[in-house]
Amino acid sequence: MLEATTNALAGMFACPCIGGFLPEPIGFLVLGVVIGLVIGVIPGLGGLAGLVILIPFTPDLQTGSAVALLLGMLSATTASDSIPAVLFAVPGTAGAQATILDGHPMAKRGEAGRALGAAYSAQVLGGLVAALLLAVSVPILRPLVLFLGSPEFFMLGVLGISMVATLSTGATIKGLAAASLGILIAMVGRDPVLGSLRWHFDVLYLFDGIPLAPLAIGLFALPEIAGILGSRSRISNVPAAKGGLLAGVKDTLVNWRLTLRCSALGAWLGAIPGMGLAVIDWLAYGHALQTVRGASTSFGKGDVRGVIAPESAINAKDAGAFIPTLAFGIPGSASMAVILGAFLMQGVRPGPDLLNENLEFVYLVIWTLVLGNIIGCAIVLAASGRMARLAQVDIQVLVPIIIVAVFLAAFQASRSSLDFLVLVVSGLLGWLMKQTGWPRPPLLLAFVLGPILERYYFISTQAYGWAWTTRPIVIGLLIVTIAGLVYGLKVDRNAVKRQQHGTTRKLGQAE
Amino acid sequence: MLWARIFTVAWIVTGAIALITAQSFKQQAALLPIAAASALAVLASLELVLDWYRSWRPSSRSSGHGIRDVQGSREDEGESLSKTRRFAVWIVFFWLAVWSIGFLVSAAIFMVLYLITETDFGVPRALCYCFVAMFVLIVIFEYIIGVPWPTGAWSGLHDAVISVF
Repeated sequence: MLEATTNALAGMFACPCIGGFLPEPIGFLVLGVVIGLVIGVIPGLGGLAGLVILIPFTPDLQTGSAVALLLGMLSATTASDSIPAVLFAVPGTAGAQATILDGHPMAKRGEAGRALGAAYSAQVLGGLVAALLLAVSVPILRPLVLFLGSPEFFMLGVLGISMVATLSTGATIKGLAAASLGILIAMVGRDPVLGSLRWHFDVLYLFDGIPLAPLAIGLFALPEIAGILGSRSRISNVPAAKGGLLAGVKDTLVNWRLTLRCSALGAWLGAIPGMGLAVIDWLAYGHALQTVRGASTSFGKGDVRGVIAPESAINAKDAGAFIPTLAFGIPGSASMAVILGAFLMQGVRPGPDLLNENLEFVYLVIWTLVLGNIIGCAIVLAASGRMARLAQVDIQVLVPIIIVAVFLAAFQASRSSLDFLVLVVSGLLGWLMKQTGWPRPPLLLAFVLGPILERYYFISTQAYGWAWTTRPIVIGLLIVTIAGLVYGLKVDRNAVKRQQHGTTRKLGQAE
Repeated sequence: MLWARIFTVAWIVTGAIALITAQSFKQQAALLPIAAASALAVLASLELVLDWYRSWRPSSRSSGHGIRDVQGSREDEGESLSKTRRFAVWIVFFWLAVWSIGFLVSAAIFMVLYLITETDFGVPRALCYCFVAMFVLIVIFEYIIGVPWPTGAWSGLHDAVISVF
């Protein structure tokens, strides 16, 4: 195992160099980090939008470079999204919402540098702790994964989709319907078992199925850009405070226990399918509120610990989310579904085979997360003042170059002009879903998992007949799935009641 | 509200059509499509019924307003919709341009026109922006990542742009 760890690290540096000095994976890691930092600063665009734009370019790259580009981007997005959150009270991504509560009051009293320093350093520690937890969990998961067969993996996939539909959306029925549509879209083309064609309409392009990239870009990137354009054109000018970054770093080190606790919490929650950034940052903030001395009076008024807690947790989430993705091949979020798609394009099939035969790849992922966090933090510490200005740029100026990149990315899927058609149609579908409150992550997750589920289902039925449904772990997973759905429906019902009650009260006050 | 319901009906119709057409697939290949199509049709129907029920419940009727009415004024929504519509027009314009004259030429024309019409950029500033953006795009995608470009029906212009850089 130690050999795999060192081989993975050595592999990153032993590759051919770009420009004669920078090893290729490190070069792509830096490129990914820079792209991630820019995307994180722009409010409304998150790691998922960045991933779906970058993923089509990865099949042409070596495995190490592809992983470096994607994970560098993903790990850096959370680093820079704290900039608009602290300075302008506008979250760069959903994971920076809790940071605003204490980060922005600190900025208002001239301590923006300290808040940002605390946020960056907490993120780095969070990322490192979570990467360590991921590394430690690998030897524990290896025998467990060997114990599971196709029926269990099929049920794990069903559980993953249902949890994302239930937990991450707040609209369980719509989430499940979206997942069903995702499976249907994934069924277009040749089926993975018999090779027979489904819903191809005699169009050659559809024989291999609808490609992931234009579908994902259309569903997530285009509606987000339209949303940003529709909501605001420019963030109001607020002077970015300089200095105080080191004081923030010191704050994180002084509160190392809180940082470690929230990092572990973030990594653990990240491993649960359906736990999104928007949930994890509030849970970490709530944990800090309950456990930190004097928090009840100081939190919400500019307490640096209110910045450290959510920031360490949200950066730890990604490494935690890799545990089910790498070990079971079951992604727990839309981002991880896209990452899984990228791994499959590279010929890497997460699951038991990966943990037993390609352990070096697992450690390549861990090292990339570690280095991505460190490089991202170094860049934002050095250039946070300049990056803050990016959030103040009129979004209309950035739109043309984003659109051009989006179209180019969509074309790389199968290099057919029909990729653009898929992009535009899925963009329209994504926009309509966003406007009418239909969740999009379950659709994407089910699209990626559909063929995998079908294969596991086929193997299970061939090997065990219907007896696979009576296996103890399968029954256990089925019970958890049903319990999760019942819980989700109950939460939805309560939310609707609260919303209606709140609406009536607000209208009463207004009148 | 009406649009949301029409959209839900579209989901039901999609599920129903998928269910009917999936009957013609081979037995093993049809299992998951039939299961997913049935689930889609049933769940979307359930959502439509629940939505209708929520809007006709006494507590909702007494307020006489939807939740969206409280969140934003009609003017904001109208402006937002107008911006989204313009954005959609630009997307379709760029798509058609790429299809006909190739990616690089379309990208340059799209950037310049977009900046001139949607921002306060003048022509010289838009041209400078476009030149820098094209330089960055071509260096990253052509020389570092090495991806192919969509050439379009009139590929001569595409080659000319590449030769400039």
